[in-house]
Amino acid sequence: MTDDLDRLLSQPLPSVADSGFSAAVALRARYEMERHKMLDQLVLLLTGAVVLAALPLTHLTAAIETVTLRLGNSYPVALALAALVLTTAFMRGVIDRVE
Amino acid sequence: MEEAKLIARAAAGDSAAFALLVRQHQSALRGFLRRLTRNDSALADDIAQETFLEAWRKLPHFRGDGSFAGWLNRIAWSRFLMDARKRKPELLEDLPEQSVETSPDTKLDLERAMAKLSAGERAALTLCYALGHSNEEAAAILNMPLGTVKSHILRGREKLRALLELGT
Repeated sequence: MTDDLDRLLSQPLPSVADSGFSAAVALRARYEMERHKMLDQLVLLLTGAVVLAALPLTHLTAAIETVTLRLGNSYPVALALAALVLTTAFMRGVIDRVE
Repeated sequence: MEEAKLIARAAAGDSAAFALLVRQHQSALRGFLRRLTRNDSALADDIAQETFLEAWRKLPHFRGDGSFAGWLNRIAWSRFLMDARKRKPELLEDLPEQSVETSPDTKLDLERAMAKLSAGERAALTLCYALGHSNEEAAAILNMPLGTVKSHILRGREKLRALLELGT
């Protein structure tokens, strides 16, 4: 009798027809993945916005402006740039002649 | 395609591979959940859907040290417990024996008799007999000590024998 019970219990579970179940699950999974991606992007955007809002932008802009003006009006920087341009032009000329 | 490859592709976000995995495992998982929910197919399918979605989210963490089916059954069991506690706590308990109905169809009798058992007994018997898991695997799936699983099986078998009048 124990064998009868074992046999009954060991029978495979009745097969359940898919009837669109897999497609519905896959659709929800895709939707969930897209929603997660959108949420990630939103969090990234919000974080960026918060960081930008927290930065002392006016101070930074003023500092960048001052440094740029000073560099532009500086003779040593102008001479260094001129030397760089002349050296590059000379090197290019030499290379062209060799080729 | 080989299951391990499908799992790897699905874990990398390939929803088509995941859909194939769902198709391969839906029948066994829904059958298991129907047993657990005493044949409430709507509730069983709800839990099955949530189980697959949780599996989709957790797939990158699936280590593959057990079978994929066992891993799904483990998620399904914990989802079933959560749902039953919230929506249908009676699913976790035994039903009174006097409400047993008899039928000439033995298979139907088994399902009806199964429905009289507690959730733990139904789960342990289904996993170890119909789904072919070992007692150790069933203990891991149900997150229970091995001794508890064995006693669920023993008690469940005794009750079934009495309910089906199979004798000893």
